[in-house]
Amino acid sequence: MRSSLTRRRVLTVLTGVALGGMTLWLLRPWTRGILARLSGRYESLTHPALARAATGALGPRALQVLQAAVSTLVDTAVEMSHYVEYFTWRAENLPGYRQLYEEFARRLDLAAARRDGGGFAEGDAESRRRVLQKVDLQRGSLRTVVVALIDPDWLRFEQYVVREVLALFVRTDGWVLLGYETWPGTPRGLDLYTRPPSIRRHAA
Amino acid sequence: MSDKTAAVVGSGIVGTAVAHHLVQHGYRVDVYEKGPEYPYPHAQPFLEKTRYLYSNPAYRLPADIRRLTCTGDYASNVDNERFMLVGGSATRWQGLTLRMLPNDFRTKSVYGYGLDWPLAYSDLEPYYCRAEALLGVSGTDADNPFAPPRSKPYPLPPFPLSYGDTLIAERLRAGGLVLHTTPQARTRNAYDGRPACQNFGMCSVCPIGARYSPTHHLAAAVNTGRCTVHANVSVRRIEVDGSGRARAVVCQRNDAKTPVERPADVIVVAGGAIESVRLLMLSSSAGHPGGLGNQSAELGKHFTFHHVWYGELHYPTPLYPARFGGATGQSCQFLEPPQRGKHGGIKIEFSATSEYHRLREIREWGDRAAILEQLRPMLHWHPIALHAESVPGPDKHVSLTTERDRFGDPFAHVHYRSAGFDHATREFARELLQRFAAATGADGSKFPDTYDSGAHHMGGCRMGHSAADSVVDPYGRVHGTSNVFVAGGSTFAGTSGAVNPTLTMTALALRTAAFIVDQL
Repeated sequence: MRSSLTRRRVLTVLTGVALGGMTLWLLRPWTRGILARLSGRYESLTHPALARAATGALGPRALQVLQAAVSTLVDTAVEMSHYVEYFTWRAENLPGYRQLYEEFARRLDLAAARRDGGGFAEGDAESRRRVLQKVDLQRGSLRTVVVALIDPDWLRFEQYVVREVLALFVRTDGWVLLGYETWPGTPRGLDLYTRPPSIRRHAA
Repeated sequence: MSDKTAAVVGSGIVGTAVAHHLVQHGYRVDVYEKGPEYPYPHAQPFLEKTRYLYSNPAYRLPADIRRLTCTGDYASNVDNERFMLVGGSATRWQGLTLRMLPNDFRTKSVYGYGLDWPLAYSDLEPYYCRAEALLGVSGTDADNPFAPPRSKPYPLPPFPLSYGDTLIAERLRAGGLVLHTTPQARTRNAYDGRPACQNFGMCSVCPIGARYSPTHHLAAAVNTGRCTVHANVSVRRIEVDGSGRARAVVCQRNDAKTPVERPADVIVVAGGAIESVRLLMLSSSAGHPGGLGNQSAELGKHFTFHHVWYGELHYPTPLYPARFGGATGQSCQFLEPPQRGKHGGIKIEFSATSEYHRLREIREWGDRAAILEQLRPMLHWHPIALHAESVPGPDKHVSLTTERDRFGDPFAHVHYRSAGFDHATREFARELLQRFAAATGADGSKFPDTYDSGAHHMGGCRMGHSAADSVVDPYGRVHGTSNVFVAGGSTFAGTSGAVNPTLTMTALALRTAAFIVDQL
């Protein structure tokens, strides 16, 4: 009796699987569409676009906080002038960046005040690093999805501030950190490149 | 001096060379460029690229004017390889200027593949000299035993090998391999109103004009008062009468509702291999049913890319590559390998462009040691580019597609599929990479799965003696017409050649321009 029931169950399960598979196969154009929509939804959640907003000059506090953020992100003494030039140009020329930078600075200050009772730029390196953990968002992680749903601004900050600062660093100070005399984009003359590099202290 | 008028379609290096030459000989020239203006010297685009990491959409022609469709096995986006703006693709090139070899013009008779050109290296040699003078080429053949013969020295001295390339050259020499300096359109000293190179390093957008940009001579032509550059204007067709004489170009501002006719005594098509074919096809009429020069149905055929594999070699000790923006070391030793014919020749380039490094990114931040670890591979991986010749064939061609641009004209369609010859060349390239790796003490290497065209598109309007098997004559004049010319890379007749083709394109353009001045 038990054996007969088991066989029936097995048959039922197999039939169910076969029917389910057939249904999915028949509906594949729709399932593909649903998956694409879900994927698109996920993409738009975790890669939020920069809101278009007026361009203009950055306030001094925003610039101060941004520079403190750069120092913390790259954990290396860098000449700030090209980062300042970068932030300033983007704020004044590309819609959305001024608002983004101002909001980023405001939120970092707010987080620092909650945590340590002071401004972000005034905190020590460790305090700033802890505050910046909010933008340590790995693609595909559960935390990133949760942040995307609850407070997508942090994803914007990660994408349009942190990643871009790191990209600028790789193209500039990263070269010096590795031991190059300077980075491409600066006039380097036609003599140095033929000689062994004079290794800088950074490259140790 | 002449009082004739010329319409030049396309403002790239070929169109500019033609326009500049014609203006110098008294022609009034209208240059039509469907793309937007691009400021010269390229200081602002340089700042945008290097300091602000900004890709300015103002320099991008809208898709409903520029697009094309593509089938076959080419993995990259062909459309993105074309910089359709004033000055064309050579506003952003690397500037390498090598001559093809004498045998590149007769591969059929010497090696049994491809087609022979209707002209010999010796016919083109004087124009190679003129092209080198025009572009301000720095170089020497003293260290290159494989260089073709030349009647004049390079206009400027060479750029010495970089520190890393010197080390590599020493190791190669011990293994019987040659690495020599690279001729390039980059000013070793001040030249023709251009300052000496200062090694900014981001050579694809030179801020001071040391790396040649066509806009240099375009501006010079405009300054004579006899040349006008019409940016954002698309030439839609060429009007040819029953006798084969072209009357005018039909063009349209990209934002206009209707086209206008612009008469000219001579019309030179210099739109690159793909758009030049397209324009001749769009110019079909009762007298030219398949398009201009298409009596033989060869228009769009004999099309080929340059095949480039961008490999990498890993060295245990850092070589500090990319301290110079251009390429300094390369090898022409395998342009004519013993098995040439079974596969193509290959030029090897120890390129070390800074763009290579810019591809790296760091994921872990906030810790100096971790950042350094992520960056350090840059020092040990050295790029090695293997440039190969490819042969035209039945699976490589340009045609028109059913999709239409904003004016209602069909876009170009590129069909490109590698042939057996290309696969054999790829295996030869792989073998060479391993040989160079072993000779230089590399402890690791990468060879890519796919090739890249290097943005070099050739042929489609093949030159030949007869209208029965070609589109233009050896001077670029379209068969069946008296005053329509195609200039530059579109007219390549044989293989792509293994060397970077831009100098050859420019030499061909100057030869066409000289013919127009002398014969029309």
